[in-house]
Order: sequence, then structure tokens, then C-alpha cells
Amino acid sequence: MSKLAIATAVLLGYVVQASVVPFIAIWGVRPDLLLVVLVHAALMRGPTTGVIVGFASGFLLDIASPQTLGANALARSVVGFAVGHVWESVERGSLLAGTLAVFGATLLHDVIYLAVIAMTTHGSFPSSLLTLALPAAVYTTAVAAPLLMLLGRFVRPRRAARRAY
Amino acid sequence: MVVWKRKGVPALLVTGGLSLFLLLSGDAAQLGVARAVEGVLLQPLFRFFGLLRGGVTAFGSRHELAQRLAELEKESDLFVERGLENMRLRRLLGFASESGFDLVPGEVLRYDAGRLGETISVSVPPGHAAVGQVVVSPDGLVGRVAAVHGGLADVILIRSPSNPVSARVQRSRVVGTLRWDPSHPSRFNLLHVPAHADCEVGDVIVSSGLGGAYPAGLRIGTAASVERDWTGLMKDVRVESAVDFSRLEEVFLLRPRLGDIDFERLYTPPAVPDTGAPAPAGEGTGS
Repeated sequence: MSKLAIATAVLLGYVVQASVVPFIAIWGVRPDLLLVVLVHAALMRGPTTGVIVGFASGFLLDIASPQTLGANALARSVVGFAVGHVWESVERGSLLAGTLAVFGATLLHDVIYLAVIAMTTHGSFPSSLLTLALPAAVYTTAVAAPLLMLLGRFVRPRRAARRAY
Repeated sequence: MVVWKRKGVPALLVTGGLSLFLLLSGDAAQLGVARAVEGVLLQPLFRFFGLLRGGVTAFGSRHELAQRLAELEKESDLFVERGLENMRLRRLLGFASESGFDLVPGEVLRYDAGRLGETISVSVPPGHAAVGQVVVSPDGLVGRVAAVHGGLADVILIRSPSNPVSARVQRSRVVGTLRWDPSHPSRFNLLHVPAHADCEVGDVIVSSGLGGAYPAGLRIGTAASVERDWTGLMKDVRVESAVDFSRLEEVFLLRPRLGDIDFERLYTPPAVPDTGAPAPAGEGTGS
């Protein structure tokens, strides 16, 4: 059930991200809903699930930009792995910790992703980190809490805790 | 514990390796993989959501569309007059006739959900889209078609780092290369503009037509700031985009044809009485 819920969340998140989220952009900065789904999956189910969900969601995003196919998949795989491992060493069930994990995950993702893009398109890495990554991380974190709570109703920890947050 | 036996490491090695393989494979392979997955999984999904959204939008905007149609009909009459005037002047100057463009409407079905937002997918009538076709919105130049599958066209935006545009200052005709400025979502940099070139804040920037990728004269934006760069040799021109790429809903594909209005038929040159005298030198050489 949880696997199906995660797969559905990834697909729905992708559709919303690609069709609705551009309309709530502020100065061109958009929240990354798929990253929230990824963080939640990694937090609840561990690093292996995090890596798999990260790769799948990143690959979906990459399809729109075939010139850099694999960049998002790589960045999100690493994020899923890192979040899954970090979470194992901290207390489960805290919404604040989950929200902070979203902030850290967005920054980590953008560092990897923008570095790969800068290498392949000769873009400016430091400036895009400040002007794209940081605002995106703040915006994503701002919308993360209700989304994490919603996801927590469908995707729960594998064992022990009954509630996600 | 050995590092590679830790939880998640084997999965990371596999997915990381696969990602790198995709990144380093050639353009054709990347495009093939992307199109295959898109055709099987994503197209049906977005078509379904596009239909839902289309129904809701159509219900709400019926009156607005009727009003807009009336306005456009008035503009169309004016356009015919201008077209005839243009044809008369071109004939007087001996210019070759210009073909113009038809507009094929398309609905934006999907935005690139990635951080840079380089592409959109547009639903168009089957058979009306082709790779390389230029895409515009009422505000200005949007991009060009990169791939077509069925009734769906993938459009690479002019804000993509891999899609620089040759542009021109409309007033002074100074030419430069336009690249998206990643430090600001709605700005471009106009590169290769010499320090002595005539370019001022507020100047309209249009496509130059050089290189053949885009026709000349399509609006791109307005010069927001003009400064000398750090070398003192070139100008650092920031261009505010005319198009809001994050809110595109309807776009138009340019199809090179004059359209339904046949100016050649409408235009009747004044009759010259046949006096039997030889024609003056140079007459009839213009087309």
C-alpha cells in the first residue's frame, strides 16, 4: 500500500509541479513539491526508498530537458540517500525536523544539479546558487509543512511509530 | 560495516551510475529515451489534465473571448489596409515579396518542472507542427519547436541556456547575442555589444533574423539597464523579458505562408495605357 501511495504521490506531484506550480511562482521562483514528496518518502522508509524515489522523480523531471538527461536523477538520488541516512540518527515524528530536512534537501539538490548544469552549459554556478537555489529552498520550506502532514496520512514509517508526524 | 554494504548504498551506486550514463550519452540517445518515456507515460497523463483544465477555462472566459473577437475583427480590417499599403510601397521600392506567417494556435499542456524551466509542451492540431517552427505569444518571442510527437510539440524556450538568440536593438539596429541571465528569472543579457554602440535603457529588443533560426522583428524585451562591462570594451545590457515564461497558456506556432488574405489578388496596379512607346529603362525589374 505504501509503495503504491508513494508512486501515486510522485506522479501527482509531477503533474501539479508541471501544470499548476508555475502559476504560484514568485519572481520566477517555484516551490519544489516533488522534493517534498522525496524527503517524506526517505524520512519514512529509509535511504533505499529515498534513492529509488529520488531517481524516479528526477528522471521524470529530466524528460522535459533531454539535453541534461540524468542531472535531476543524479541529484535527487543523492538527496534521497542523504535524507534517509540523516533521519535514522534523529528522532522520528517531528514536523519541524521534517521541514528543516526539506530546506537542507533543496539546497543539497540544487548544489549538485546546478553544478552539473554549469558544467554542461558553461553557466555561472555561484550566481545561480544564490539567486535560484536559496529562494527555491525558502519557498519550498514554506509550503512543506502542510504537504508533509498530508503525505503523512498515506505514507507512514515502516515500523514502530504509528504516526508520521 | 563495509561502506558499500550500508543501507541504500547499492541502490545509490546503481541509480548514480545510470544517471551518469544518461548524462554522458549522446544527444540522440538522450532524446530517444526521453521521447519514449514521454510518449508512453506522460502524454496521456497531461492530455487528461489538459482536457479538465480546458473545460473549466472555456466556461469562464466565453464573454471575454467574444469581446476580444470583436476587437480583433476591427484590427483585421486595419491590417488589410496596412498590408495593401505595404505591398504598394514594396513595389515602388522594387523589393522582393515577403511571404509572412500563418499562426497556428497551441495550448500549453506542461511546463518544465525542473529548476531552470527550459521547455514547455504544447498541444497543437495534428500535422500543424514541425521541428524548428518558431513559437510566439501575444507578448513576444517564446522559442522554437524541438520535437513533435502526435499532436504534442516540445518547445525549447529562448531562456534555455542552450538556445541563444541573435537579437537587435530596434531603434539603432545594433546586433548582439541574447542569453538568459540565471541570476534573474525574467532577464536576459545582450552580449557582444561594443561599448560605443547606441543602446539605451528602454530600447526595445527584437530578434535580428541572423542565423535563420528566428525571423527578424519578433519582440523579445526591453533594455532594463545599460552599463560598460568590467573590461570597458563592451556594453553590459540587461534585457527585461516581454514574455512571462512561467505563465504561458496559449502560444502560436509560425507557419511560413501569407494566410487567407491574398494581397496579390487584392492589389490591382494602376492601369497604364498602351501607347506603343518603349518602356523606360529599369521598369519591371522589381518583384
